[in-house]
Amino acid sequence: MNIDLIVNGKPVSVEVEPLDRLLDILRDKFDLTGTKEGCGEGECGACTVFMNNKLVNSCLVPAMHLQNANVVTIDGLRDFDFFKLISKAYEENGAVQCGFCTPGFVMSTIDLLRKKSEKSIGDEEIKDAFAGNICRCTGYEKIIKAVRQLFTMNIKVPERFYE
Amino acid sequence: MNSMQCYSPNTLDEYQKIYSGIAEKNILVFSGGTDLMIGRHELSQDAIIIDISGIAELKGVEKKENKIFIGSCTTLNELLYSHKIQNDIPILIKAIKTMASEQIRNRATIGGNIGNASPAGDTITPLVVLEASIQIYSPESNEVKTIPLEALFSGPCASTLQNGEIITKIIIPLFEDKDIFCYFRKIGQRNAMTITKASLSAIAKYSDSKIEWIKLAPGSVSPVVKRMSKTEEFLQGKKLTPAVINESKEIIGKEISPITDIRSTKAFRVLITKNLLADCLSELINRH
Amino acid sequence: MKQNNEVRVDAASKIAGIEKYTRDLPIKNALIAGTVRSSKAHARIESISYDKNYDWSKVTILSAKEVKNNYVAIIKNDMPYLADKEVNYFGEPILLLAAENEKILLEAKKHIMIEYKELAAATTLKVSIDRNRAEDVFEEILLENGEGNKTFSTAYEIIEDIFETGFQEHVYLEPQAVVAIPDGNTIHIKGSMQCPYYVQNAMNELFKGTEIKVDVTQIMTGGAFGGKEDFPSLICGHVALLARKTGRPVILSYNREEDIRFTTKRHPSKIHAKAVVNSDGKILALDMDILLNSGAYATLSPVVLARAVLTSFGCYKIPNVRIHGRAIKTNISPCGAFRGFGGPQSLFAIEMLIEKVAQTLKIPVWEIKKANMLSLGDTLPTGQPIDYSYGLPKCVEKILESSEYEKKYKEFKKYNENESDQTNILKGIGISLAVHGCGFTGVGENRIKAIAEMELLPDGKVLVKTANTEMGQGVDTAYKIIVSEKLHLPFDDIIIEEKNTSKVPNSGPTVASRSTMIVGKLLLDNCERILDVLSLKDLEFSLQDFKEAAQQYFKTHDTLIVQEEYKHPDFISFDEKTYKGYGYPVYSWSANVAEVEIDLTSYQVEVKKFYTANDVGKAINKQQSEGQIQGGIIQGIGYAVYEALCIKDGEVQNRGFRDYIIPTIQDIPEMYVDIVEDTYFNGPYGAKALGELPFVGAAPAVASAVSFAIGKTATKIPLTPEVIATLIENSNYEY
Ligand SMILES: Cc1cc2nc3c(=O)[nH]c(=O)nc-3n(C[C@H](O)[C@H](O)[C@H](O)COP(=O)(O)OP(=O)(O)OC[C@H]3O[C@@H](n4cnc5c(N)ncnc54)[C@H](O)[C@@H]3O)c2cc1C
Ligand code: FES
Ligand code: FES
Repeated sequence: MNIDLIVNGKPVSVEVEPLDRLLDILRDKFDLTGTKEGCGEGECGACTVFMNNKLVNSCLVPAMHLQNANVVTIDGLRDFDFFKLISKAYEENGAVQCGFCTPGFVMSTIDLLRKKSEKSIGDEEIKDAFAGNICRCTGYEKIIKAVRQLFTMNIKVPERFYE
Repeated sequence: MNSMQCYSPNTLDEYQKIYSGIAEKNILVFSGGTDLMIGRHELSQDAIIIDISGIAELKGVEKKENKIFIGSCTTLNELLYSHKIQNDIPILIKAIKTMASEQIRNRATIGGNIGNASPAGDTITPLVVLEASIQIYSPESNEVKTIPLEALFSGPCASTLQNGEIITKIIIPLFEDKDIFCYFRKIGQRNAMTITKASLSAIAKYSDSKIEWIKLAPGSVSPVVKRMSKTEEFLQGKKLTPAVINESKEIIGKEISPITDIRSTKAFRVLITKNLLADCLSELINRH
Repeated sequence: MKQNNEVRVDAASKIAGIEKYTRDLPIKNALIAGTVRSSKAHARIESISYDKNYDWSKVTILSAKEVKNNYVAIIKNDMPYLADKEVNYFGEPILLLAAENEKILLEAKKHIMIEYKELAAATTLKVSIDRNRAEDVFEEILLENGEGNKTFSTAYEIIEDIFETGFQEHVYLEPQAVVAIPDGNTIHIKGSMQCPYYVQNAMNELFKGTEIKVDVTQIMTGGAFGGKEDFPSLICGHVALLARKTGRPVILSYNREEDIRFTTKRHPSKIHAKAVVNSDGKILALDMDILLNSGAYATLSPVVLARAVLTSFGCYKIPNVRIHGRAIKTNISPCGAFRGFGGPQSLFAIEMLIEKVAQTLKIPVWEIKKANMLSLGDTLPTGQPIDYSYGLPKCVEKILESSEYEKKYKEFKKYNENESDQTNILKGIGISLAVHGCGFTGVGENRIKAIAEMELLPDGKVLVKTANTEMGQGVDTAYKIIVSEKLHLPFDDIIIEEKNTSKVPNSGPTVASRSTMIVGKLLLDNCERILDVLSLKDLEFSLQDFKEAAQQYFKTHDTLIVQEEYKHPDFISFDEKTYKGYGYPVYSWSANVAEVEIDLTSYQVEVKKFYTANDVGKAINKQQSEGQIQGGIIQGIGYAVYEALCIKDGEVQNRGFRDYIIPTIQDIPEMYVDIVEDTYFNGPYGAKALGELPFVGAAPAVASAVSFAIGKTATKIPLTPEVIATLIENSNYEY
């Protein structure tokens, strides 16, 4: 089947099988390799993207759900101004080691930042937001620190991207 | 290899038309896909996928005549953030909060959780104690019927749905009485992202230091989710003395029939189900 | 050296998703590889047949018949690339397939039939031990000191038990992935790996006697923890063979299920330990029988066992010992390297044995540990004196203070007596002392003869050439810090050469926490050489001075390449027969306190707080050191309470992350990390090993806390709720 969708603001059209995974379409057809595969079963969050403005695991989204969908990936977000602040907070707090989980964590961070306007965030809330992101290297502590810091910085993250 | 056939109707009418046009009725109903995508390589290549996630009639939450109607394609997050559910069905909120992750809850639907018919499905036990019923649409007869939710399940991950039948709505009767105790607790293998090893949903009415009535449904400890009628009957009208609690634990221990699988053992599931009941009852006492 | 808190050099590119991991490489015209595996634990292969009605034209098949030197070169060379006549474990590769895409592979596999004749299988350690065959012992080590176990006849009190640890899967977040690209007679291998030269050596053996040349490049590696130490040699052989056969690039990447089921694991252990103690709890003698379940092939088991033996006495002064270790073959997938490398198993045993001593003598466990702990100047049972870089006492001091251990010890006892009934929660506090021998065991380093190279470039930049790979631990950044500090160059002027075996010398594998201590030191020595050539040695100089000196040099010279080869200081020697001498040139130490709660409804152990102090000699990069420590603790907590591999008749039942349970962000304790710096004279700026240390102390601390909570010695990990219930309720809830 052929589907039309928007990926990182660009309308595209692609020939797929109904159950092909969004993850493979992004990586193989559009060379958007910032989105990673850690498990292929919705558990690790390395493949996290926005689909129709919602945070989803791209490894569980079938191609047939993508007709007219708006998909935004890490590759489409890195040039926004707010991204540099997120990057800085992750870098300076040592939130990155092997980095394979990192794009997924960053996607969840963006989602959290745009949903919450308050200037502080409780650790419970952070832990809820990242329940679907697994990191084997860092022990999470420094990621939590980076996110806490981001909330003190009054970052403006648009509510929607490429819409 | 041939491409799998798939259809994405936007209305039940369209669904019916598609259905009538299919000769070999090997239909796979597809909603959020969070269960189905994991086993996608094992799906029969001849299956005809009907993706119902675009059917508008199957979405949203409505309140009518002291009942809540949930469209089967409503996602778990839509339910979590729905004021109607928050106000009227707190036990369902408790359950959904323990489920998966933000990413999954944005995709997973309540109809899928029920349709999957797993005894570990976390929305099922609260709905069973609430005595929810479901509407089932049959494209064959083009009719809708309503059955009690409990009647849907015929075995672990098996339902009584006939080919092409879909759950359209979940109907939950509400209580006039606002003073109803509700309990949901799930024991998994860790705190987040975990499949239920054993769980317990309960609602109860407690007055004059006695249980007026109680409804109990444990998860993941029987081939299908069902009410614990013997335990419920035993507890009805009782004062919760330590002796009563102990006896009720023994009864529920016999009423369930768990198995040993990769997540836990049969003996352990019996033990923690009893503990869950004790925990539920002590919460009930403490609440009053 | 100043206190460094440097941002990792690769952080920004990883955050932005620009960093390329193996599967992100653009490889043109590549085939995808797949593996057909054994469905029996031990069997003779009777026949392999291919469905005649299936169109095989799109599939390349490769079998053992086509592999001439069919063994993965590593210690014993006993593991084949592909099973030929016999399979020794469930999941053992039998055939390789290559096709245009995954779908064809999946389909093709359904049309291959393999018939087996099943043979007796030992899928558990017990079966293998009971059948008592010499050929099942991959390695045996005996270490005796003092009167050995003769003390037992004149014993005061003998306290003993059997301690068991489970399998553990590494769960690097990037699954195994390698590529082979043919190019004339050369095959370029690229992949996610720790040790490009291990792969290089294995490929040299595989293609020995042919015209094929191989070079190996490590690509940014998404976590490894030992899981990409020995294992990649096997799959690199697979892609190389397929690339040679097809003449096309071949990609092999495991999905998570394959990775969890068929790659190496941490060796499970069963350790029978006995202590002879006097009434004050002083340990007079120790006897240990260490059994490591090695799986079907030896891989690195002999060296894992060596470290287990040399770690078995923990941080204690024990005059008489008899340590007997054996690595045993079983019919399960081979165990391999994993952070800690034998240390976690025997440390668990010794720490829990002391727990048992404490419980038997009714003396608080910390009293016993304190009474037996090594002091500076003491000698290990190997005869090695601990007379330098011994920061353990300082670590102990730090955690006792930060955790308020002694106060809480009393409080928690009271809580469990008075309040648990109401709250349904048991509290526990535990303490562990841990040690990690730095670098290779014995004189391994002298055998490896690691070489690191540096090149001064005409623009005054330097090129750093080592084979030590970045897998998340931060080695590239550490090297830049080491060089920058010495040459006063900014990071941008220090270029890390690609980890390609045709470009960098063999500085040894990236294992055993040796990269900073050993290779970092070589880099420092290389810096000295460069300064010497530039006549800046021992002088105060600025960046400007350095650049000018370089310019001056290149007026009359074309190149400046310097090389250093590692050798231990002369006094470091080790006898591999008696296991006497310097087991390691130096040790890293840690002290740990864990606080746990056990919920009596679910029996789940939850680690609430974790205090740790680690003597790492010198933290080259403070922030990354803390990160390593925190990550190690969480992985150790996983090992202690969550991570259970379920094996039935030799077949791993776990299918992925949904049933191999590792800690999520909601399962972590509050962590308090202290770093102690008791410098090592032969490490760069005093640095010694760090990577594995935080892991090894975690599980014993947690198990000690659990023992406190339940009033019984926890004798095995993982302490899953089923195990805890069994301990508490005195009835069996386990598998
Ligand atoms: C990482 C992860 C974590 C998870 N965690 C949990 C958890 O904590 N608790 C839990 O209970 N589940 C969990 N699940 C399972 C799953 O997310 C839920 O069961 C989800 O609600 C399924 O909904 P879906 O829309 O994705 O279903 P689908 O995958 O689309 O369908 C599931 C099944 O239901 C059938 N079906 C779907 N809709 C209907 C309908 N309207 N009428 C009839 N049949 C229908 C389908 O044919 C299929 O058999 C988890 C899954 C993943 C991947
Ligand atoms: S790859 Fe999608 S969640 Fe792990
Ligand atoms: S940094 Fe390696 S998994 Fe998170």
